[in-house]
Amino acid sequence: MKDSPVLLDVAGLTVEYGSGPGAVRAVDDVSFRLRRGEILGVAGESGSGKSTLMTALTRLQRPPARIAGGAVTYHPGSSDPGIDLLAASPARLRELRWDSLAVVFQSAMAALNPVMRLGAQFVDVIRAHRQVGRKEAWARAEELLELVGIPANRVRSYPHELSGGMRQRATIALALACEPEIIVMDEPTTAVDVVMQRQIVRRLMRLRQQFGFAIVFVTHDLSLLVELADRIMVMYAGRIVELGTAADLYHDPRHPYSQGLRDSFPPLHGPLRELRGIPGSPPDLRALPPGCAFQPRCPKRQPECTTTRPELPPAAEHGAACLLQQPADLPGSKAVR
Amino acid sequence: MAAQATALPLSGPLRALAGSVLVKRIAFYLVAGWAAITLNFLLPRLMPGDPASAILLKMTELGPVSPQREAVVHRLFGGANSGPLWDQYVSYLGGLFRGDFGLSIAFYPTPVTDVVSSGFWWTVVLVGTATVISFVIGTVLGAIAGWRPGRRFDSIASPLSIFVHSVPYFWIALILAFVFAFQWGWLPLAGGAGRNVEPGFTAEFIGSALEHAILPAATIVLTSISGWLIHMRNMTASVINEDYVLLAWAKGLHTARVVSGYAARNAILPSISGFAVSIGMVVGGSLLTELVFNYPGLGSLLNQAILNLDYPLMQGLFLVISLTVLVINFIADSIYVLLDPRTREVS
Repeated sequence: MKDSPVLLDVAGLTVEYGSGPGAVRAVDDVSFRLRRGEILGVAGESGSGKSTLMTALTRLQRPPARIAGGAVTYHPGSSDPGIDLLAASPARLRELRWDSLAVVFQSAMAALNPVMRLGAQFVDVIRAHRQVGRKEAWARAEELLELVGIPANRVRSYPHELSGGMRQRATIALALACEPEIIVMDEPTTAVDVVMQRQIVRRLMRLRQQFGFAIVFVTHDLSLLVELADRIMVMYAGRIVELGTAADLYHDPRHPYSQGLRDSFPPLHGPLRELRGIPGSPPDLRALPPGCAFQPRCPKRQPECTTTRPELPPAAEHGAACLLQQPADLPGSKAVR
Repeated sequence: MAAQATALPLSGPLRALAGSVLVKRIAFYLVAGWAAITLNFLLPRLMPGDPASAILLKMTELGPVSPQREAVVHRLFGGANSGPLWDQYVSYLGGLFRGDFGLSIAFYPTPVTDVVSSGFWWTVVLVGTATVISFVIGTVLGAIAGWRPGRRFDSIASPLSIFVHSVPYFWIALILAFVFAFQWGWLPLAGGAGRNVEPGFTAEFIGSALEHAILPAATIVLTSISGWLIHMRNMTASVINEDYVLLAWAKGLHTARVVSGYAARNAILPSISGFAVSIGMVVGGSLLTELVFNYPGLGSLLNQAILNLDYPLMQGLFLVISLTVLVINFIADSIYVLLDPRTREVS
């Protein structure tokens, strides 16, 4: 996975709510790369900016949210110079959406149009991107539903006639409709029970094998990501605080926040650990603490943490934005306040 | 399988309509209709005093009253010298099916059926058309305002319609009549059509009727448009934040498709039920508007009936109004089920 070509290159992405001096920065200078066929997990508490990041990737942010800076470059082919999604024309963006970049939302009940038959919601997107007849599109919808274990005759059902788990799987099937290269998933398993969650995750892994799409998987559930993701990105107060492989994050979390996250979930396999919560509550983005945003809650806080904002080491395989991880003589030179 | 799937979207709703669900709904409306008819029978009999004697007294003032006419009054309104209640009820129902409501007092000696049907079409055409026009315009403008809440159109249209909404509609009618009919004389001041125009399916009559309808219709449209606008504006503004609309954008669908299939398609549902109710109310007439313009519709008739204590006419009008409301609601219910699958009952 490490060597596969870069599919999505996110550089310095910044999203703000509102403008002017009162603007709240929900995503702050986020950079990462998504490789072909990779599952990249994004973990964080509510308010950490992970959902805002997801909508910004697909340019679906709604006012008052606006993208204040950065670039999201999509590389359809390996030799291609890439398309900046944030600068693409509305028509170009419309072509790329779903065809290359599909989305699965958190609440499947709210994400399906209540007055359209399930199949019709597949047919309209298939026919918007592919030159196929109505009949063919309906047949394709049935195929897709069967792919996620929903009987083909459900194609004529309305969303309210399906169970919660079926609806969630249907939205995943919907995301596959045009065989996209990237699927962005915002907590797709949060609204279903644990058994259904396992089923969905297992099916997702199998589908990824079959179709080779890459996934950006957003969730607050780090233990789920450890099972599912190739790499994990931990977000706190709109910034990436740690980025590494799933194994790195699980066995060797370097940022105190990632350690706290890991220790607040029971492991799915292996011996039980003592569970610990993270003291305090997520920071107010309108008034971030000076220095490291996590320092008021950090069990390992040092005096310089309140004055120096740590940066994520660029291009590291596994890195954390924490002063404890950086050579002792460096922090002073990067003082921001 | 695929062929079946494409053919089914039409037959599905029809299938839901057929069978026991439709039968149940018809039964419900039949019971409601029976209740309306029975209340119409009971009300004059529950009134203090003896309306039948009062009516007969008035009729004798207006002209000779034959025994048959006296019998009709007793059948409709009870009275001292009529038989037991059950017999009265049976003969009341019998008269109803023959369409016999007795003679109007205000328009003595014209039968009530003739009086009601003379006003019926005036009102249905005027108020019905005006209601449809204001619904269409109000809903379209509301959707535009709600699509981009807070933008220029919204910030002008929404406060303006709240202002218009709070203006009494008869006052608007008076202003329109004063300015356009009295002051400038562009349009006729009163009536349904020119006095010397023979009613019929002629260009002259239709032209004259249209000319007379403009001001009352404008009154109704102007005052009711704002309700539709505000309603649709608020629904649209909330629906465009729904996940399924966001997903429609994410699918890369064209704006027209997002609006017609997702945003407006869902936002309009509550307006449709509101529309069904106001269409049902059409026959009740727009009382004050009809009065201001002296329009020969059901509203004016109701006013005359009340002023003249014309119980037979009132009874006939109430029955026509309540039965029309039921019929329209039945139709609206059946259509709404096609539009919103969530309201379909499982048979």
